[in-house]
Amino acid sequence: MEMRLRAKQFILVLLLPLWSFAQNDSTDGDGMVYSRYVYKLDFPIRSGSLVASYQNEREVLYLTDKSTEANVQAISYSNYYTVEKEFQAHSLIKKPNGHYKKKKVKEFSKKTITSSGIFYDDLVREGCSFPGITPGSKSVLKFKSIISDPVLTARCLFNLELFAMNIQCTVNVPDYMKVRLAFFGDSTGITHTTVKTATSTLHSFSAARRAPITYEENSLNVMYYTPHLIVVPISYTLNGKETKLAGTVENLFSRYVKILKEIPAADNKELNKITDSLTAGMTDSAQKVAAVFNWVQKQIRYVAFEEGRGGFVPRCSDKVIANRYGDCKDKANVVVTMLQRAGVPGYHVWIGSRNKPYTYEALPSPHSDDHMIAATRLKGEWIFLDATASEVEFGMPSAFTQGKDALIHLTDSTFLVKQVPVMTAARNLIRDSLKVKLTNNVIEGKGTRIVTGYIREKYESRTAETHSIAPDASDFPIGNNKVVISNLESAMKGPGTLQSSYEFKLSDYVHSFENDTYVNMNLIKDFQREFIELEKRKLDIEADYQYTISQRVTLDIPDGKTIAEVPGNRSFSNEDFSFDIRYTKKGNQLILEKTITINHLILQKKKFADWNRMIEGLTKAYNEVVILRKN
Amino acid sequence: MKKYTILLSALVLSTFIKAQSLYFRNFDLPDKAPQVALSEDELKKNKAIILEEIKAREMVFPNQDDIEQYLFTFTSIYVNDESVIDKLNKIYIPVSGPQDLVTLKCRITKPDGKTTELYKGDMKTVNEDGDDYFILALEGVEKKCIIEYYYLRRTGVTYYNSESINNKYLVKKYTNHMISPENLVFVSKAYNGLPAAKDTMMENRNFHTFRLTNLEPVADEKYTTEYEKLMRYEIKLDHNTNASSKKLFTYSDAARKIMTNYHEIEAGDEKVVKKVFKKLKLDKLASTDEKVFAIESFIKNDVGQIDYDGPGTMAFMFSKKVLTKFYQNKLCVLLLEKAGIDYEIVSTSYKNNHPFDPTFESYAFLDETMFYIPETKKFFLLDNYICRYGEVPAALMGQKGLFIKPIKLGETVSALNSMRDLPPIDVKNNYDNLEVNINFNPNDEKVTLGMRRTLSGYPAQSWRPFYHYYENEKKQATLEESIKNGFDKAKVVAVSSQNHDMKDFSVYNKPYIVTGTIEVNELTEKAGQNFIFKIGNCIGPQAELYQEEKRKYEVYDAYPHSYKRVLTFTVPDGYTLQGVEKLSTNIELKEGDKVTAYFHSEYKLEGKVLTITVTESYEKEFYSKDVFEGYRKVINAAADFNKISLLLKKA
Repeated sequence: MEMRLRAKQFILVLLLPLWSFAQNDSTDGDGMVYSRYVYKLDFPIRSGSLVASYQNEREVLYLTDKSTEANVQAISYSNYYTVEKEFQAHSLIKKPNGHYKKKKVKEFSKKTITSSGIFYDDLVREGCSFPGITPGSKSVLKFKSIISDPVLTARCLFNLELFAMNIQCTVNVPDYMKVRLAFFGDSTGITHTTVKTATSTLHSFSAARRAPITYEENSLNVMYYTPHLIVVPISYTLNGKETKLAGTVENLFSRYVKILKEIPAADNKELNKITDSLTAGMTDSAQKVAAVFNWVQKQIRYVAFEEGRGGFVPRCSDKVIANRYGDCKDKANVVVTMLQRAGVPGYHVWIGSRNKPYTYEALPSPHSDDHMIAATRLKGEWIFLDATASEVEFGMPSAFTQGKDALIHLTDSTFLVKQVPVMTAARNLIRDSLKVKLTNNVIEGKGTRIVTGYIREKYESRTAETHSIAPDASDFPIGNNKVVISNLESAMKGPGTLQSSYEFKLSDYVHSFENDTYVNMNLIKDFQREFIELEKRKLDIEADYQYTISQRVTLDIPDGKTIAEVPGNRSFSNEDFSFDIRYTKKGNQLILEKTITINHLILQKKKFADWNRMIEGLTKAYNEVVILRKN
Repeated sequence: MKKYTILLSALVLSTFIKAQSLYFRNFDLPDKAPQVALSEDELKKNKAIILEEIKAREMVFPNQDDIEQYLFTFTSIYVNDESVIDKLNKIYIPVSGPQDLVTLKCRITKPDGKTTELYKGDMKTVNEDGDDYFILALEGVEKKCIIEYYYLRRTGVTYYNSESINNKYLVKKYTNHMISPENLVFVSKAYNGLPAAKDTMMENRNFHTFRLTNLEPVADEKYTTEYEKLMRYEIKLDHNTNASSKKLFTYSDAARKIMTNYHEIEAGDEKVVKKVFKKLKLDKLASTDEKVFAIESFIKNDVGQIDYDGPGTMAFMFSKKVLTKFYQNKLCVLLLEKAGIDYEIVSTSYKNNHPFDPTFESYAFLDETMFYIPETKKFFLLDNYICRYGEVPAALMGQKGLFIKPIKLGETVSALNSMRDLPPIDVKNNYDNLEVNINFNPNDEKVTLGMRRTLSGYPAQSWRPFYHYYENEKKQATLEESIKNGFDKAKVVAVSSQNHDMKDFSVYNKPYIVTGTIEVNELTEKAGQNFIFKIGNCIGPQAELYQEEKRKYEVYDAYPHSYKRVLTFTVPDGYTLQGVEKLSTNIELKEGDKVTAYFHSEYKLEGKVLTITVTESYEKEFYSKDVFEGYRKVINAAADFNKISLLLKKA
C-alpha cells in the first residue's frame, strides 16, 4: 500500500542464542526438511550460581539435487553470554544400499554478524558446510552451550523455516528452582508431558510434521503466529537462600533496577549546561520537556553498539553528550537526566516494539522488550518520549511502540506498567486541497498539502541520502505523468504540522469530444486497485499507524460551459477502514471531497473480503468523470 | 588450481632496491584543522564540503622477493548541514585482515575549536556479507565541525587500474598519487576533464600525480552512462628502468599468456574433453553453428559456475559438475580445437561505464573474454547465462576489442593479437512487437485483451532466459508478467509461450513469442451513459522525458531497438466512436538526412473495426546531447500516445 512505511527497528536486548531466520544461506529451503530438531534446556549450578545449559540439534534431510547446494548450517550466539560452547557436526551420506556413511565435519567457521540497524554487536554466527551431501543424505549439527545469565535462554519454536518431521523440546527444571513455562500461540498438535524425577521435573514438548513458517510482506512478526515456548526462571534456592530472577513483573523490574545502577557515574557538566540553555526562561513544564526531547532527538545521532552488558546498560551520559551519538537506552537516559536537571520528573521506560507479541504480565522476561524510551507526566497525563525516532512529534509515542506495555521506573522500588496509546487516524493526516481551472483542456491549479503525525515522518525515512523532511514533486502524483509541479515550498506550521504549497499544470488529461469536455476530478487516486489477492494472502497485514487521507478538489467551471453530468456520491464504511467521495456544486464551482480512513493497525484476514469491497467501490468512483457542456 | 591470470610471475620487476618505508607511513594531521574559507555561494549550495582529499597508492619492495601495495587516504570534510551527519559520522574501511590496517587517525574539530581524536584502537572489526571491515563511529560530529581522518592500509597489488573520481560532495582540493620505486614507471591517461598527471621524483620514489581543485558533485540524468559523468583515469605500469627497456603489460604479452594458460594441460583434461565431446556428439553434428551451440549450451546448462581460488584441476571440478570461469573457457577452447573449429578469443570492456580505448594499452580494458568464430562471424560469451551464441551483451559491441588467435607450432601454442572492430548492434534484430485484440463489454465494463507479443534479440533477453531457467511458480509468474505488459493488476485468463527452450538449437535464436488473454478494468472511465476508452494505454507503459532541463550528458539507451504494435478494437454494438483522428502521429529525429529515431502511428476504421498501427524505432544506442531535443520528442510522442482516449458514445 502506498502510504505504508516500515518503522525503523531499534533493538535493545540481546536474545540468545539468537534464532536465525537466515539460516540457509543459499536457498529458500526448497527440497530440504528437518528430519529432527531438538532443543534441550537445563539449569545447573556453576560456581554457586544458576546458569542455563542450552543444546540444539538440527538434522536436515536433503531431498533434491538443488537442495544439496545448500549444505551450510550455522547457529548464532552471543559471544558475551555464551561462556562455554561446543559444536559437533557430521554428514550422513546415503549409500546405494540405503545405509548411511558418517563423515565428520572438522572445520567450523565463524563471523561476527550485525543485526539490522545496529552499528556493532557481539553476535557470532558459527557453522560449517557438510561434505558429500547427495539427495537422501542428511546433515547433523549439534550445539551445546552454557549461558551465564539463565534468564536469557532461547525460545523454542514449533514451526521452523523448513518443514519439520519432528520437533522435540525438553526442559529439565531442577527442584531448587521455580520456572514459568510461557507458551504462546496455537498448541494444537503439540504434546506436553511431565515426568518427576528424584531431583527435578522434566517437561517434554513434542510435535510432528510441522509446516514451515510462512513469510509474507507487511505481516506481523513471525512470533505472533508461530507457536513457541519461553522458559522464564523465577528464582532458585541455594543453601537456603532464594535468588529471584524474573518470571514476575516485580522480579523483572528488580533486575532492571540493578542494570540502571550499573550506569557509570557522570558529572553532567556539559549536559547541565545544555539543559540550562535549552530551558532558560521557561516556566512551563511541557515547554521544557519539548525542548529537551527535541534536542536529544536531533543532536544525538543513532549509533548502536551492542556489546556484552552494553547491550543492556545505558552508557554514561557524559560520554553520550560528548560523542553526540548513542542508542535508544543512551538517548533515553540522557532525556531522563536532562529532565531532572530541568526540574521535571523524567523516568526510564522499558518497552517492547510491536515486533514483540507479549505483554509484561504474560511474559515477565527480557524477551518482552527490545527498546528503551523515557516518560514524563504532564498535568496527570503520561507522555512517552522516544528520542530514537528522530522525527516523531513531541507528545506522540514512536509508531512502533503504539499499544505496547511500557514498564516505567518510578523509583528503585516502584514501577508502573502502562499501555502506550494508539494514535487515532485523525492524528495522522494527509490533507490535500487543490484549486483548479481549465483552459483549452489543460488543467492549471494550486495545491496545498498538510501532513501531521506519523505521515510527516514518512518523508524523513525516505530521503536517506540527505535527510530532509519535505515532500518533492514525486509526492504529488496528480493526474498523469505529464504533470509539472512548480514553486513547491514546504514549511512547518506549528509543532508536527508540515505544510507544502505548489502550483501545477496538467495536460493530456482532460478530453473533449464535440461539445463535451470530460474531467476526472479524482486527481490523486490513492489505493486504486489495491486489492488483496484472497487466494494467495495467508497472513494478517500490519499497518504502521492509523491515518486519514483527505482531499478536496475545487474546479472552476469555465465560462461558456455548464455541468452536464456529475458522478454519484460513493462511500464505504466499517470500523477498520472507510472512504467517502462526494461532489458538491457551489456557485460556478464543482467540489470533490474525498476521505479515506485507515482505522486499524492490523488488517485481519477475515476483513480481506470487505477490504476488497471498499477498493472496488473506490476504484469505481475513480473511474467516473464529470461532463461539462458548451452552452 | 590455475588462476586465470595474465600477470607476470613474481615479477620481471624484481630488481631489488633496498627496502623502503612507506611515504605516508609517518603522515600526521596538521596541528590544527584548516581555516574554512568557503564562499557564501558554496555554503549555500552544499550540505558538506570536502576541503581536501589525498589518495595515494604506493608500491614497495619489502624484500627481495615480494612486492606490496598500500593505499593511503586523507580526507577533511566541513559539515555544513545537520542532514548529512548520519552519512558522515561513520567510517568503514574494507580490509582482508586486521593486520592490513597500518595507521588510522581521526580528528573532529568542533566550531568552538575543541577537538576529539580517535585512533586505530578505537575501531572494531565486523564482517558484513562476507567482507571484513574496520568500523569507527566518529564522536561529537555536529554542524560546522571539521572531520579529518587518514588511514593507510595494505591492498592487493595492481599493475593497472581504472579509477573514477566519484564525488558526492564538492571537493575543494584533490590529489591522487601513484607512488612507485624509482625503477618502476607508470603511465596514465585522463578522461572527462581530469587534467593529465605530472611525474616527479622524491626520496627515491616516482610520484605520478593528478591534481584538481573545485570538483563539483555529479548530476543525475535519465538515459546516461556512468563513464561520461565521472572524471576518470587509466593507469598502468609501463616499464622497469633497471631491466631492459621492454614495455610491460603489453597486449601481445596478454595474448600469449592467455593462450598459453588455456593450453597448459593438467591431469585429467583430456579425459574430460573426450567425455564431453562424445556426449555432445560433436563429430556427428552437421554444421559449425550446431557444434558451437552444443558446447556453449552444455557449459551454460549442465555445468555450474563457481568462484574459487584454491587448488584443484579442471577434471576435479568437472567431477563436481562445476567449473570456474577460467576452466569454462579452457574447456571450450579444447572442445573447439578437438572439433576442428577455428576461433579467436576476444577481450574488451563494457562501453557504458568503461569504453575500450585503443590508444591506451591497459589490461583494465580486458574485462570480458569472449569467443569469436570466424567462419560464422558470430560471438559468444560463456560468463553470461542470458545470452546465447550469436549474442553477447550489447555494451561489449560496437567498439574495438583485442582479438587473440591461437598459433600452433608443433606442441607449443602461441598467439597472434590484433585490435579490431566489434560490429555494432543492428536495430533490425532487436524488437518487441505486440498485437492486441481489444474487446470491451459495456455491460460489465470489462475489457479483454487478446495479446501476442513477439520479442527478438535483446528485448527477448528480458523474458526468455528467466522462463528457461526458472521452475514452477516463478516460471509461471514470469510468463504472466510478460503478457501483462504493464497492466500489473490484470487477470491473466490464458498464457503460453513459444521458442522458449534455450537448449534447443532449432528455436533458441528465433523470436520468443508469448500469446495470451488478459482482463483489465482500468481502460475505461464512465461518463454518464458514455465511456472514455483509454486506448493509448494498450501499447503498454512508455518512458517519458517531460522534464525540460538543459541536457548535460549524451543519451545512452543500451542498444538499438524497435517496436511495432497493432491494436484492433471492435466498437461495441449500440455505441459510436469519436476522437480517432488523434491516433495519427509522426515524430522523427533526423540527423543529416538519416532518420535515427521515430514514433509513428496510423489508424483505419472499417465498419466497426478500428485498426491502429504504431511503429517506434531507435536506430542508435548513443545520441549526442545536441540532438537531445529531437530524441526527447520521440520518447515523449510514445508517452503522449499513452494518454490518447476515445469516446464511446451511446447511440
